[in-house]
Amino acid sequence: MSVVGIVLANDRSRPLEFWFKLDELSRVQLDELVAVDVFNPFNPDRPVTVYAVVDDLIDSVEGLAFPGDTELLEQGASYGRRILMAHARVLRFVPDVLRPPRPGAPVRLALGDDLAKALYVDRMRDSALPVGVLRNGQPAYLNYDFLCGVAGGHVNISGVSGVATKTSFATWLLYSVLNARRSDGQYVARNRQDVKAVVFNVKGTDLLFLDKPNARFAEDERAFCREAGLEASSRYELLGLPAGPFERVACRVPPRPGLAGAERLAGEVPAGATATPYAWSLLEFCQKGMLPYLFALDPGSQMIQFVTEDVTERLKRYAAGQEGPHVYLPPGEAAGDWDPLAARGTVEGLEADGRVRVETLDELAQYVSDMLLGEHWGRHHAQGTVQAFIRRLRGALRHVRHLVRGDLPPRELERARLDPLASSDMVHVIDIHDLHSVAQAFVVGVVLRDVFDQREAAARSPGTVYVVLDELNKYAPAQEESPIKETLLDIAERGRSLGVILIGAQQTASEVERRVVSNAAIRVVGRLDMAEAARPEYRFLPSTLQERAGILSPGSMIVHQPDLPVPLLVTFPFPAWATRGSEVARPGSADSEFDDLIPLE
Amino acid sequence: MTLRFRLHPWDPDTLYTVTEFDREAGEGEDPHLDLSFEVPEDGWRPLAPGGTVRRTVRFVDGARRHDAAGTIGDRPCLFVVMGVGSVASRLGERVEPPTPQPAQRFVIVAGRDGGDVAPVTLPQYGVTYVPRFTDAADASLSAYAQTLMLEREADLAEELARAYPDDLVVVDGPLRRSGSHQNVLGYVKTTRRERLPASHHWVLDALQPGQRTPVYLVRAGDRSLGDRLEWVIRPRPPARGVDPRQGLVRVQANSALTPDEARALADWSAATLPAYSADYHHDARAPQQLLIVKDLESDLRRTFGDRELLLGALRGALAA
Repeated sequence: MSVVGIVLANDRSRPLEFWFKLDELSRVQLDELVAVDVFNPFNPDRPVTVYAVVDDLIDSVEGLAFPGDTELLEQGASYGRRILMAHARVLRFVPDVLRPPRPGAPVRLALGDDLAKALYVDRMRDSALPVGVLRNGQPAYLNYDFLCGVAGGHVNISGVSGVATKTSFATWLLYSVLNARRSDGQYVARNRQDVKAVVFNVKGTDLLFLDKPNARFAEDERAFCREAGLEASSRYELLGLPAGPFERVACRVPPRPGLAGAERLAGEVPAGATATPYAWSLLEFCQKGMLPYLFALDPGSQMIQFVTEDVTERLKRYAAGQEGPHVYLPPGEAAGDWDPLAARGTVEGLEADGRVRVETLDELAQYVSDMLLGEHWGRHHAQGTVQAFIRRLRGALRHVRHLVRGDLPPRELERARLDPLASSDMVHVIDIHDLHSVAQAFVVGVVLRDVFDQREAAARSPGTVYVVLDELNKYAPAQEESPIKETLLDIAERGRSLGVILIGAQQTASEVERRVVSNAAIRVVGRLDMAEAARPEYRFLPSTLQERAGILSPGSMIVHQPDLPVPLLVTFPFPAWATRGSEVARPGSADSEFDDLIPLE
Repeated sequence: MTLRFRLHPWDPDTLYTVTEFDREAGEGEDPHLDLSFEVPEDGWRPLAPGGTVRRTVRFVDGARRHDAAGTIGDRPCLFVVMGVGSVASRLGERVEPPTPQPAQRFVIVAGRDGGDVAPVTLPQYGVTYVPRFTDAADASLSAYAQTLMLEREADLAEELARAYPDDLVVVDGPLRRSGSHQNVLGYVKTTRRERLPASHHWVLDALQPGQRTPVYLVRAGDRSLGDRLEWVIRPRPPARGVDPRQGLVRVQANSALTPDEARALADWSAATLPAYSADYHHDARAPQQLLIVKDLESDLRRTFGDRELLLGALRGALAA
């Protein structure tokens, strides 16, 4: 038993917190886990073990009346007795008898079984999912039941951009879900082969290399472990995880705008990455009612929304039963509504029944505008509203016209299809970083709705779908309403039962819709702005951790989960997958490396 | 000439309680001073030592507390607790706090030991008050307690001086052994009656911190314990409005020292001891009080235990 001190007799020993006097040489720092045995009056033969985490340390000199006399101490003209005090916040009682530790009782490091109990790992059993490494080098676990939707679901990550490493943590968590195994060799994630992940890449091109091994991480990990005094060459090893890139990854990038001919569906792929472009057919646009997602962030006034709904419904109706990628639309129902000849300037594409073949979003917009301005469609709406709708439509058009296509041959269209649930790939990275925010919202809105609707329509499917989305403050802001926010609320509130789990992130949780954040069973905090950390959204952090959140270094996160009364501060490993082209390991071919690193299933 | 009021640097309550017991042997007698021990009597002036050696110094002090007062038969008694200890310091280096020693407890009874007084034990705290008797007609019980403590201080000082011949030992208060070890110095914070002749008072007034008077010899009177050497130092510049004569300290040493040996000790004390002196905000007895001695005192008091608890336990033990 490694005793590190004794409980202090300072009138502060309580069931939920206590102080202990720390031996100066004992290797204890903040976040260390400790245990104390307490007399159990209900069963004297079985003491209560109190498990606690050290959340404050005070080094002081007793007997020194004035702090200003510290120099006199150094000079030997005065003296006092040095005392190192540690504050411990109680995590658990085993058995559940809530008694304060006795002053003078020895405090020991929680190791082995003690550690498992302190962190409730004994209760997680087969659901213990590695989430990071504690400061003392021990693995920390999440209860997977609270992640995958069984007992709870959704993760919310807050932190300042750039230093909080939110996306890295979300990716790491995903990696752990896909790779962690129990002691019997089974995957922690149930139905792991059916697990899907939809990851939106909102910044840089980092996530487009998920499937490429990282040439640098092993060295970085070794250096980290050396500095932290960890007895392993990498934190993957400590956590019992393989180290390698993600497998079964599909990276999808938007097509470059303005391309035609043979190159019409080429995307911007950074050097070293492998990606295919994505797009939707014009027919899908009409059939699935995607029009509202052109205004996903700013749907406009209620009157405008009526027009949007009206048009969406009409397009759906007309497109029903057609085969794309283009769409045939009827001529005007009254003269002057729509003159296909005038619109196209040619008879090409004109059907015998007078319907016209529309191949581009611009043509569709033109059609919709003309119809709205004509008598039949327009008579339900005020002219001003119609004008406003058309302005919005035109405004959105230039940002998304390359994403919705009626001009692609079926083979290319199949290649461009974005349907993560139907695909055999496991991880779908959807790059939107270079898109205008209107287009970003369109893509996010359409994909999320599609995933949710598919899951809702199907019977409970076995695998969980993880959706990783940063900038929740943009998509589900605390104040405004929008179609995309509606979808996110659907996921937050009903996704758990449908197996759709949101791993959401934002700089500031206070700016995000409360119901989205409060539905997350697991809250994670990286470096926070001090003022932000003081907001009520972070009440789950004890005050000392709120302060600490302001100075967290990249790679350190505070993880709160329902099972543990106190959040844990963990570090997570450097990515074993590349995050930029220069990191991609390629001795010979990337594929051979890939095979070396990933254990076969 | 109109006389001006001046203040004493000490807190009045401290001044009129603590010093009550700080009597010196021979006090009140006519002084027999040999002012020419180090320099001729008419050559007196403040002396500023040159460079002196850095030496380890061991401060010895005691602290005591009255736990309870009572009677046994028709004799008054006093329950006291006292602790005596030392701390070693070498300027420029951190002090290693001394190992705490258990406090000593006595019940002081007026009158002779008739062999009929048993120790008082409080088993729940592992504490025993050992009887001591005083039949001195004029002595109060608390003065006897003080004497007991001073005796222990003197014993400890001699013990330390023998055990660490290279170190100096500074006892808080006057020297109490006529044949004290040559490395034991007495540190006298109060002077009830100035014994230096008026012709030499200007030297006292002119003293600056770091300076000292010449060493002089105090000859034993009839009741005194023995001859001793003495010199005066000033620990800190006088505070405004305070009588400058009241901020002085007399340092005492064994009279058997040669003038050269005495000079070395005196120089050392003038150069070193001011660094230990308490500032005015530190202590009611500043500037004479030594800060490290104050620290030692409060360290000693830590071993005394809670007075209220002991009093309650004594009531319980004596109720039977």
